[in-house]
Amino acid sequence: MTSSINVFEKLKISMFKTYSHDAGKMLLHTGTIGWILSAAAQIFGIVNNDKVSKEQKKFLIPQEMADAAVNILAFYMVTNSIQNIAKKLASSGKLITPAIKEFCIKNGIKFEKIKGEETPNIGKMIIDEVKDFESTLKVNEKEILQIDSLKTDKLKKEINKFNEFYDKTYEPFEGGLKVIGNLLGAIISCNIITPILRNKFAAAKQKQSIAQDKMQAQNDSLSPYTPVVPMQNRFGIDDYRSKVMNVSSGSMKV
Amino acid sequence: MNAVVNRINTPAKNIQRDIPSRASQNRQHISISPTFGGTPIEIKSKKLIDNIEKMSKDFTSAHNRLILGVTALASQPFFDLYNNDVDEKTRAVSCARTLGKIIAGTTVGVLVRHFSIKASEKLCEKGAKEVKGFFKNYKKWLLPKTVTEPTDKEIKKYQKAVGTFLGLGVSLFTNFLIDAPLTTYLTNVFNKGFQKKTDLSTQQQIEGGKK
Repeated sequence: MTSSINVFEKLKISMFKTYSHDAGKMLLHTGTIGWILSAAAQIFGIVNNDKVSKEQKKFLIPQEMADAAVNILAFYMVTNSIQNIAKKLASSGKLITPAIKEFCIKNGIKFEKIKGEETPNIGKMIIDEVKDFESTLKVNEKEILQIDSLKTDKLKKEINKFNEFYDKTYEPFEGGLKVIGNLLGAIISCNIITPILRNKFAAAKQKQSIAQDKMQAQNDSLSPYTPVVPMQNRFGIDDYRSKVMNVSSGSMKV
Repeated sequence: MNAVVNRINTPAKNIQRDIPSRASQNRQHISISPTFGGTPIEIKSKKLIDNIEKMSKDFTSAHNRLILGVTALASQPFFDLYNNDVDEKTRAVSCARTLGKIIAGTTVGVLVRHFSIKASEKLCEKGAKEVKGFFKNYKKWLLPKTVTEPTDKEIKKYQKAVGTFLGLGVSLFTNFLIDAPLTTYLTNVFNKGFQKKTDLSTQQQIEGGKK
């Protein structure tokens, strides 16, 4: 009982650490999990459907899996990439607000790329500055004999100023751009890339199924010795249409 | 990280330090060398900045699902209707299916996420008073107990994340119980509409041919 409570608490802490600052990351992770669960439900639905024969399952399950792989990969890769680009726009100072620019100039934080130097990372530099202040403060407080209350107060004020700026000005701007990037990536992947790929995939499968039907029909008519396959056991295009419509919720598979 | 370690090892040198060295170095860069790579784009509109910041603070997965649904409605049916790889009948059926799926999926998805987030807010209240009885402390069930002094902003984002995960769990059931039958119903409705339209246009073509 205690261990299960600990696991639950650990889960909550891990979720808090991961998502309490980053709405974009939460949307990306839950979106991907959503796609995985949806695909799993589709496959589970087919596996447990008694109305679908074994032969049909052999065809529909790999198709669903391929469809799921396309959906999940397209969503994660496109959304993650655009989200990262949006984040980079803020951190490199390519997109900047007057408040961030003013703070950077006042406090010597690089926000423009200088030739031959690394691309600036405003957020990281603010965090590094705070770490520097904190370590200096720790050292000051340890050296009791040399303590200078004025310097200590100044350092504490600087730490508060940097932290406040990061929490109230920089992080909401960077986080907002990340969410916009996430939304844009999701729209492109879910509403443009995935439907086009699915349409192509479904059309290819449909043509393949029709060709198989025709071949089977020709073979049946040419060879008098071929045992006759009962119609209900064949998997034709009409079966394909109706089964896919009934079993799967993939929008483009008809 | 090395810089931090060095500073701790040589305290006397750093006690003299008023402004951090990294900042002063950069300040020199800014004043000495003004030849920068890319020109930053400065967003001056306060309204736009406020809206960007609002996206970080208030945007939830329910909003996300709604926007995705609306944009899907505006794009996906057209991919079906103009899909030259399949015959006309298949195009109409797949378009009807897509419309049904988007409307059912978006409606259920938005509602489930919205109410899951609301539920997580009730189960994760910072500074909630103790309640007597069997469900005592239910307002703190989802609150991480060992995190010290979380800010309101952090709690708000955490509530949204927990709510979205709860919503995903609920969606597993609603997918089968509501989405699937509603999608089938809507598909049939749209399919009938498309068939009527196709029959009408075929009839008009025949009549036009006779003339």
